[in-house]
Amino acid sequence: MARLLEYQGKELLKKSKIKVPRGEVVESMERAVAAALEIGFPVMVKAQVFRGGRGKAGGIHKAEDMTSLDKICRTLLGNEVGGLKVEKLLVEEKLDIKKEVYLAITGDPQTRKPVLIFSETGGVDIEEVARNNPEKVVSQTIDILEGLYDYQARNAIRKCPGLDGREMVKCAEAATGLFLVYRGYDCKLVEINPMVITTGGELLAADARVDVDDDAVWRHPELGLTAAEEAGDRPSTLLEMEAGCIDEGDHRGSAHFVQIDPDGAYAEETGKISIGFNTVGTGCGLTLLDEIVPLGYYPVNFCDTSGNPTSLKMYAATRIIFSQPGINGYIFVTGVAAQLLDNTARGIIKALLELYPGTGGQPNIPCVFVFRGRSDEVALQLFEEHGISKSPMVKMMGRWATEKDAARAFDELYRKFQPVGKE
Amino acid sequence: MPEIMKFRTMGEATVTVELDKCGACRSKACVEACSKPHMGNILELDGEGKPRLLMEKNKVKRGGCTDCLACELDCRLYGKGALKISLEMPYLEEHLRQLTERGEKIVYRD
Repeated sequence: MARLLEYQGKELLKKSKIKVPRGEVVESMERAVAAALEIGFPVMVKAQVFRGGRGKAGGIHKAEDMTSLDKICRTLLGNEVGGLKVEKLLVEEKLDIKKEVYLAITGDPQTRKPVLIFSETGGVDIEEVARNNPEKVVSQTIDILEGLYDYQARNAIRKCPGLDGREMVKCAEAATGLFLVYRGYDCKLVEINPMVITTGGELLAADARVDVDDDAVWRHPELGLTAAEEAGDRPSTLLEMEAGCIDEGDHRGSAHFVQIDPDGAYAEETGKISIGFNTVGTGCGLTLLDEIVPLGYYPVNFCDTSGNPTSLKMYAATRIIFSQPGINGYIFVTGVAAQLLDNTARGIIKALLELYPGTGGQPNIPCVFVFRGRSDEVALQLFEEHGISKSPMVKMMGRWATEKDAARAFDELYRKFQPVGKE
Repeated sequence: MPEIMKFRTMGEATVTVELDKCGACRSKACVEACSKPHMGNILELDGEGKPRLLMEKNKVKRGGCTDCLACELDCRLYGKGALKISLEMPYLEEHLRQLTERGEKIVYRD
């Protein structure tokens, strides 16, 4: 996921006239000291990592004085918080908190429209609030073309009894500003948790989460994001970053790749055999997972190359999948696809020819290729013409094969050629 | 000086044709592959029997070439191996470099 760090998100909030605490991003102890002296103690020191629940993970501390600042910086800088290395700290003024509220805008899959979510209980897990005190969470569907009007935001927020009139108006203003960030930067989620109402009556964003739609990253070079496939809470791997480039500037079909088990540790722990995985259509992918996992194999990636991607996209995706360390096999299955499967095949063939120049493209791990749909016979023929299907490590299947057949064929092939030590 | 034809595609690939090799090619497989119904139809033969672009390079870049790779694969199989399509994959290269540095194995390098 193209996610911004807290300080980057706050920069966008500021542009939409949402106030944020005074602060500075630092990468060294010296800069942290300078920032704290300028802001004035006490200050908050926050690790800038892509992780929710940083407070609980030990990534947020209050520094009362120089000694505690020194200790906090030494604990955080260069070390890990929640498994992620801390390279930057945000040193911020400590707010005098009167109240904490929650404010977010995200996509609502049910209405397929953006939705404003507000709660008078901020600073905690919003899902938990919604579960235990649903009356404390209000929402307002937003028309993407009309935008969010001030009165709509006020109307939603006034349903929370815990705010007075002024606080309600300020929260509504922040909500309309937040929608400008959501819309302007093609976001999936913009969230301020907590939004702090200070004892002085000011409203400030104490945190900021901004997730930009992966497919819109190229529209926002100003954000300096690398187009990468969705990786959840961890930073994208180099392979995911490469995969993110596949669709950049090329609308013809799509290739989505994510590493489920980047270092193969889960597969190893659970005694499963790690394999590379690619399907045409995610439904087909999920069905294939249901068939292949119970047989003892674990796809270390998920990849969907559908919507009639170019052969070049297939080539790039295949090279990426084969470049994962420790894979012991590869399975490729198309759903019954309308896409030109001869082009799909060409991409895979070019990749194999380059990866295995010594054998004319014949792989050294068990591979199953299933082509079902438009031009599937041509696809099979191309593998034959290039001599790849002649390899004993390769099993080609056509339109009558099911996902179960593909999984079983892979299992048979693997058992026949299993690497030493994998019995 | 070798005679080279070079152009870029929408997918950011670079197509390079060593035209010196094309004179001796009997199949003209690249042009044949490109001329099929759902292909790009961007290549034709010039007077010397060598491939040339049917349209301007900027039109090729804007999607004239469908990035189907058929020209390269057919040239390899039936022609003289004169046509190569390359794609820069810098993050992948960095990934491979880091794996090598850590001594980790990549299956196709075994």
